Amino acid sequence: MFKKLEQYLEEIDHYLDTKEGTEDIISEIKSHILEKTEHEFGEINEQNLDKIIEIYGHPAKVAEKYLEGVQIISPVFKKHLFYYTGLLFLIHFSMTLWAWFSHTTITVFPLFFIPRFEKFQTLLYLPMAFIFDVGLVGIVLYFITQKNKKIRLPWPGFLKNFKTRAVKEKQRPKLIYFFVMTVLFGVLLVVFLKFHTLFFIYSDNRNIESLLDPVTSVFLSICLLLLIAAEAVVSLIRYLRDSDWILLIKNAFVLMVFWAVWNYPGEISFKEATDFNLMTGGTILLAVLTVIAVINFIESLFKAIVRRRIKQG
Amino acid sequence: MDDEFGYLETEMNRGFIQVLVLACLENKMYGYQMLRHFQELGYQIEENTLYPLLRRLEKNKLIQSQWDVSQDRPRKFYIISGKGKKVRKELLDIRQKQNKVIDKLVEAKNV
Repeated sequence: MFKKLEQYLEEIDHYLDTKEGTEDIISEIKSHILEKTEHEFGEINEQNLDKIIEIYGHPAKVAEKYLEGVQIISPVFKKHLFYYTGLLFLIHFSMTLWAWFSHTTITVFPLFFIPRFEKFQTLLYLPMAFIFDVGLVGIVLYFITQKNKKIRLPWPGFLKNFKTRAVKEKQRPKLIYFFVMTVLFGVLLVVFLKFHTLFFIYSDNRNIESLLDPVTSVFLSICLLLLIAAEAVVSLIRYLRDSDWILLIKNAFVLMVFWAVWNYPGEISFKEATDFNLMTGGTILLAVLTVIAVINFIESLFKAIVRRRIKQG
Repeated sequence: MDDEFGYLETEMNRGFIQVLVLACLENKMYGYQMLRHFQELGYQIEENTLYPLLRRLEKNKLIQSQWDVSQDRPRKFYIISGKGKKVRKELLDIRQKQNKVIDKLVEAKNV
């Protein structure tokens, strides 16, 4: 038999869906190519077949014509694919951050297994998590498409509202905000340089004392100063040239500061207070602030993406 | 421009080729024979367009097919079905109406 023709037909066969009756298709193409070669050249040989095969087209393109109308995922689910993946990744991302901050392993079988991370392993895990989320949503939409049933997929209303808000709410911070933050930073810096802490408590003898031990005091005070400095610098940058990405970077920086606090290597020890457990109170306050920081980061990330998409049309 | 024209041409031809094939298959014919027949009539169809179309028409029961293995080379012959004849009549009516509308427009606007 003719080797090139066999190879050509075999390649078309690879691309075809078995449901389409591939054997019949291949036989018909073969019959056509042989007949055309004989008709046009008077003789069937490898060289003449080559010319006819070239005219017939690339195997993938030939197979594609037979698969017209066959869908892997229906085009009507394009928006669902992105929004559902976004929502799933949001959950995945939040849980990953939680596992990172709290040094625990989170398992939601069979959807998530988020191990206890060491330092920057999270950065390696998140891209994989995203790929998994795209795949999971893709598989679900694939099966819905293949079942060919009229299913009305839920379309969360808040997504539409979020988009509207993302467009409407975009406004530059006022210059006064920068001045307030700068003054606050200046005052706190002076206090810190003088007392080596920003956290005070009234002692029993009515004196103002440091709330924490000296090393922890310096560490947490510097963290607080960094947060206020970042707020001041970013508000000025955004006043001069507003950008979603600047806000996003600031929120990422805030998260890193919180991460540093949660991973403080020393032991945080408070001054004894008689009627209130400062350790518990401090931990709860830190947890609440961390959650707010995570929400802010995710919100700024989504707004940046939505605005970018709107901008691109 | 060429890409856009190519796309529009493909879209325009899509329906036309279906009518053409249905009109051609009053007597049984095989693929290559049809292509040559169209060529003689002055209309060129790509072979890798014709065969998938024949398959779709057969799937929709508008045409029927049968392999003839009595000669030295097996050939798949097609012929229009009863359902195909009804559809063909309706499609030809639509085609004629479309042509009339186009003719009137071209005449009126002097395109």
